[in-house]
Amino acid sequence: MSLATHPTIASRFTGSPLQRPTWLLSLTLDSVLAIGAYIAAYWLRFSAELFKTFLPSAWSTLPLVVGAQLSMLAVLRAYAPRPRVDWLVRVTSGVVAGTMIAGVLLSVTVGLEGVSRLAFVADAILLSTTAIGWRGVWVLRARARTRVAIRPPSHDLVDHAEEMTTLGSVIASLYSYRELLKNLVLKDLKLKYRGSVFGFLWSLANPLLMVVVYSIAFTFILRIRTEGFVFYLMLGQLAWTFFASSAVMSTGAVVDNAGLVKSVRFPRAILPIGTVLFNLAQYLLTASVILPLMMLWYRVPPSTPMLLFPVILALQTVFTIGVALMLATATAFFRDVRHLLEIALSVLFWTTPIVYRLGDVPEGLRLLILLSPISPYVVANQAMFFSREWPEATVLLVATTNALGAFAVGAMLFMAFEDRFTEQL
Amino acid sequence: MGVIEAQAVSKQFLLRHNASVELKVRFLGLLHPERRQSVEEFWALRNISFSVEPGEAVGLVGRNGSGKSTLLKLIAAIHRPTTGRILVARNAQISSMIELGVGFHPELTGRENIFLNAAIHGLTGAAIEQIYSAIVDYSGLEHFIDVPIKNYSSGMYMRLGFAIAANLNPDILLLDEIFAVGDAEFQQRCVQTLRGFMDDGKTIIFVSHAPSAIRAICRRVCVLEQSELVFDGDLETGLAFYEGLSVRRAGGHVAVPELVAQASAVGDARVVSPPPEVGADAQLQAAGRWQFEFLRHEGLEPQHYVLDISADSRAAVHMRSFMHEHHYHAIDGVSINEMSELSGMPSAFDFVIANSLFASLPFNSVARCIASVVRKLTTSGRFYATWFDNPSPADFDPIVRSSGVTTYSDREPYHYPLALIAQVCDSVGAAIECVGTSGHPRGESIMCITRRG
Repeated sequence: MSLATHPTIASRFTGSPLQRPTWLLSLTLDSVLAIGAYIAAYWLRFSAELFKTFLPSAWSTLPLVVGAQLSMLAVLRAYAPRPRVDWLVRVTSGVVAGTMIAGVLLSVTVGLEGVSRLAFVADAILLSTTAIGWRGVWVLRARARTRVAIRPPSHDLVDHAEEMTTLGSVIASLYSYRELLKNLVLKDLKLKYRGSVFGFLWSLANPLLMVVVYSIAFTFILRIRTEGFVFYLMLGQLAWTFFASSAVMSTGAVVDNAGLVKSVRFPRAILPIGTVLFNLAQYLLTASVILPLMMLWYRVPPSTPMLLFPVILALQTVFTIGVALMLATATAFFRDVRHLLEIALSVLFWTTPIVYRLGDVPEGLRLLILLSPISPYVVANQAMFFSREWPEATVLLVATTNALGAFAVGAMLFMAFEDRFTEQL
Repeated sequence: MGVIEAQAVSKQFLLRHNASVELKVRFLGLLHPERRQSVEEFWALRNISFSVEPGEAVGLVGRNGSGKSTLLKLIAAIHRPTTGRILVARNAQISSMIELGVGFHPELTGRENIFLNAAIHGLTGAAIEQIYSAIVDYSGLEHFIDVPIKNYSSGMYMRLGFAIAANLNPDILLLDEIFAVGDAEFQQRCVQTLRGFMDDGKTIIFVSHAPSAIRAICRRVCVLEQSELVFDGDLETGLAFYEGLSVRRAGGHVAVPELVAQASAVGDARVVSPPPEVGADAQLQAAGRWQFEFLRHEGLEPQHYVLDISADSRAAVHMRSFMHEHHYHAIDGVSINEMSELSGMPSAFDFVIANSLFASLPFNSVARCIASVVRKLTTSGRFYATWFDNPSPADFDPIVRSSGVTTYSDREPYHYPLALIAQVCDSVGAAIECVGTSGHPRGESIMCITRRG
């Protein structure tokens, strides 16, 4: 420990570099979220008709539950003027303890009639993720803000180091570097099959072979009688592959280009975004051949819901870019992310309804499966092409929230740590 | 108004010793102090200010690790300055050749690499089409342009890299050691191109160790030494100064203040930092005598061991000559950069003197210096240091970096409140008192640090 960071010396001068939210703002936001989470938990727990009958009981217990949660948060000092790094723990334990106390109080006062345990669990999960979520966004924003210029630049001189420090300016710079983005994607596409005799055909051979293997396995060995099961499987599989290979490639996007990052100035976010767009291009190339083929084979007539495909695809791409930005940043600091990701992907594959149908999942777990990050996009694709109906509103809602949330967090994370990883690579 | 303005620019890097993100190593670190990760704050550049006019070619010289490349990267906005700022003319296109051929992909052909590389430097598709044939002509690689560059010789690789950079048509060109590679013909070509740039009124910042390359292009030279800009002036004086540095370096350590003194002695060069204690020789002699008399007044006796850590400052040289004259025992001083050598010294010291040093050091160095010295004091030993006292901590702004590191005002002369230094002493088991505020030639206060218990 250097002497300047010695506690007695440092403590005297520790002015917090980050602007903290005031306790009043925190309390207001948390109470709004607590109310929302409780209602949402009830809504998720019960289907629409039952929800109407349960709403009065939810409404009557609401003040007690929200009150217990907020007071536990306060007791655990989540509103202290200078919460330390452990605010994650404080907020989570505050919410969990508050919800438990509310549950106990309710069972003592009104009895367990009309009180759903599952709704309480869902409430605790929802409230803690949202409460942590807005605080995390705040911290990241504050971090990014510390980079932004306070000094006004003079009239005909500019400070280039202060550019590309806000989300808007980064997006603008990405647009001005679109030629680079195009070249990066083309480079990867060219390199992938350079030197091989069949070239792009390999991109088709791979999924086609998979179709054959799946057909044999599921129709002759497992004897699944569902009509067009392989078509169903491929819909999920293709969308999944787009996500999974983007995620894997993005871990190396910054780290493997250390030389470039350290000696040329360009918006570095272009590297992970480029890997995602490369995978998107591959997905489109493959899907544009495989999907029509399979629709012909299984005699699936085109239908209007299929027109929604570009929207779903765009949402999935935005979501994947967000994840790629997070993974690229994380790998720059922890190389373990690559190994961790492998495990996470094999778990996610099975929590996503690719091999099974969402409708076959037990009612209680269905919501959980839908919340698995890549599920809404897969489910929407299956609805549009396999069932030929419009995707459910919930699915679209989750798909949009995931996309925007992942992108916001990814972009802020990347921008907040960009300086540090260029110096430390 | 310059085309590049550096305003009090400093850059700090955090050096991680034993850096490892492995958990195993982290846990071992809990048991073995020597394996623990430690973070050292390393100032790659300190308080650099200069201004470059349009059309100027500036040679940047300095030995390895003096901060040349870091300065170039700050101008290119690849890194951000820790304090201060670098302003560049609005609309000026900057092209940096920190490394030739970075971003080339070996499997791609020359043509594809030209497009990729130009795009990395921010050109649009149409702009690349425009300069493409010029790049190919310049590189002389028409015949190989559709061959993957993994089959290129290293010379061809360099030629392609330089051809791209030369045709990006920047207003400001930043070059780092590009002549270290390539044959005579390539170098000749580079020089011609750069002269062409200058004729077009473009600005060049050029890092090199080779005086011949600097002479061929630049009219102005900046010398960096130990993260500081110690010389900024005309070509020949600058190169002579730099060579003087190299000669002195062979003889031993040279402290920066003395270099500044040396620079002021050479011609009409503009010396960047004001020489702190250089004046007529008589004045230095007086300062040396004053130090000697002060120590005698504080009880210095001939058998005592004296360590002077304002080593190589001219006043200290005079003080030592007075000591020898009167048969006192003086140890040739170490400088603040050689503090680690202290532990190897044979004995403990009765007197340690740091004259004018604390006023010219950032706080971290002061703290490190105190910690090192206290360990080498005899039980009754005394450590005298002069510094500028600042009684009001409110005037004293800590700078909190976004990384959470706290540093202190980084402008000379430094003013530290006694209470702050007392905390450092406290943490290393030493006591401190202020022994006098007057009498010192530079008007500094004098503190005395002793070991406790």
